[in-house]
Amino acid sequence: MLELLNDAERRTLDAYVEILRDRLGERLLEVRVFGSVARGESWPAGMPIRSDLDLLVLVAEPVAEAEEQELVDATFPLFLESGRQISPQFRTREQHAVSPSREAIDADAVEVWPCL
Amino acid sequence: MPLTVGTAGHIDHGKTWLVRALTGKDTDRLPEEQTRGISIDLGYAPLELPDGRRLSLVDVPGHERFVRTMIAGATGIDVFLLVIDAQEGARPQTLEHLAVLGLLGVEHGVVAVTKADAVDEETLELALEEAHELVPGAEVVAVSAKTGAGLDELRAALARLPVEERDAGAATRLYVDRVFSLAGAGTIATGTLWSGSISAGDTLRVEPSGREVRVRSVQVHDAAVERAEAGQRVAVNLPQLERRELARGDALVTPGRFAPSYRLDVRLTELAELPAAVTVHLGTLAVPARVARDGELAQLRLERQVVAARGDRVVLRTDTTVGGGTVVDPAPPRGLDRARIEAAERGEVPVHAPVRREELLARFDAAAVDALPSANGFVFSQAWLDELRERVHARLAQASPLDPGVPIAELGDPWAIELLDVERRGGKAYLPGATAELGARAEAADMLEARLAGEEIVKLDDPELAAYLEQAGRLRRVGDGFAVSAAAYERGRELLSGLDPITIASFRDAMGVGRRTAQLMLERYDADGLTLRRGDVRVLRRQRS
Repeated sequence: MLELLNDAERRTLDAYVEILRDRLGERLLEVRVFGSVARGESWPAGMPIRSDLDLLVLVAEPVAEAEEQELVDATFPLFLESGRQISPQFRTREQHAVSPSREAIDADAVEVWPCL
Repeated sequence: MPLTVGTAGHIDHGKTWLVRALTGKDTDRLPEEQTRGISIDLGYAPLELPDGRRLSLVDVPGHERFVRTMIAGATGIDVFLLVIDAQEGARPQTLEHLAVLGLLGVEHGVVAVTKADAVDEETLELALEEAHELVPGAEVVAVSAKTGAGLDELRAALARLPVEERDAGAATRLYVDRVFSLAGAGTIATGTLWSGSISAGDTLRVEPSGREVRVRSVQVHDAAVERAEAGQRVAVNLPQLERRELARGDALVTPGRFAPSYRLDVRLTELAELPAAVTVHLGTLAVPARVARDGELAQLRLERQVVAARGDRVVLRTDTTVGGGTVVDPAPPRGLDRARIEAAERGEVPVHAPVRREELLARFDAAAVDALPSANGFVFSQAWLDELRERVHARLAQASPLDPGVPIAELGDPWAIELLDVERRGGKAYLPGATAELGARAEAADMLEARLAGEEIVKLDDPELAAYLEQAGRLRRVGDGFAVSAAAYERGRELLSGLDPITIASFRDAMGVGRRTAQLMLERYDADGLTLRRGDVRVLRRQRS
């Protein structure tokens, strides 16, 4: 599915996963793309119409608000580079299991890390 | 930016095939597009027209998504390409797409009847006829992605579509959809610039908080730019703000050109029966609202304040799209008023009592606002001004001939004073050229002066006349409602320098007047700054040389 991403978007997605691995270390369990990009329905990057690259970031323990903000801030340089906004959601497996959006996310989620 | 064509239509009607057939040849001619990674698989394809202009074709996603993202990016699509299968004809999804395009004001487009090679002539004729009925005014072209038939005609039809230039001079409006805080830069907001432009150094207002901020820099996807234009996704650096002072849904606007409001007056378009509670979609905003309606007009009462503009399109949804509206008044007063909405639609600016100019500019066309009399930041209706002018002139005509002026503060609206054809002298207004005249009271004035010449002090019975005579140097008022002659005042003043100490008794004796008169005169000298009272004794203030 993710072949719909262009080179710049793919590069920034890889760069962001790298940032997550670096900052979260062993707490990082899994990264999945969901939403319009995963479904192949997104608007092209750089269009005035916004289609975020939605990421579900599964973590071993809840991420503190300040750290989460820092990780969101880290998406900004990548947005400038590719024109695609990366929108991460940080959840533990337990939080995800009880989330009302779980079904919708799981329906079209594509795992991007770890690459098995 | 190239004109963006939104391709719409039922899912199986050959949209994607058509886009490929239309643009396939062209992508070969544009290798740089391929190296930049833009692929037609993205549903985003450049199409060069016979006249050299370039279009961007955007294959719109599935219906439910389509509606939401379309509304969110109403600036994104300029014209439509509606695709109908010649065999199947228009399907419910075709109609819904068309309806939503209509709600968003995307009015111009072309209809392609696809798979023309797969049907007989009679069926094709029927399909073309149906398409004409469905989208009156749009060109209808029969095409076959398989044989290539009709593709050139379709390109030519797209080239004939009227292009509406975006108004670069319009007031700036950007809805924030994300806020960042970066070391060294501070707060950065991203969003789509709906109208106007943003340059480094601009001052913008954050609504609804009302704070004004300076733009340090602007970036558009990959590069700092001097000026970002409408339709672009931009990042704006606002170092004066803390991250928490800005939130998704806030608007960055030209100060004074938009007003946040809990109400919108709209002209409705109904797709289904409109319930009393809906979600109003305006750009990226989705706000629950109640609908108060009168026929095809309505006032939307919003749960949160929004910043809208005249002519904005809103889409009204519950679980499905139930209708839409065109904003007639983005910040109306409370209450649904058909006459007021209709007047606003005619371009009238409903001013009676004075209204702040800023408030009107946020609601109505600037040219219509500027046509009205205005002063000191307020706008007045001609009728209201005429009425006030008449009242003020009548009041001034009745003013005492001794002082034919009236304090401006007493005239009702000090902001309008310069539009009322009066003269301002100090804090008072006068009829043009008006001067003080004794008139009928000349005789009384003479009599008063004659009494003052003979009596040390006189009780006044015409304070106005006394004020006038004092101004003319013919008497001096003392105490509360008494006067002495100008000559007596002068003689007393000269005596003061020979007295040591200056007391009521010494002054009384020197002047040869009663104690009461002496006391009132000394108080007047105190008031005039000649003497300074210290207990029972007075001293001369230092005289101006």
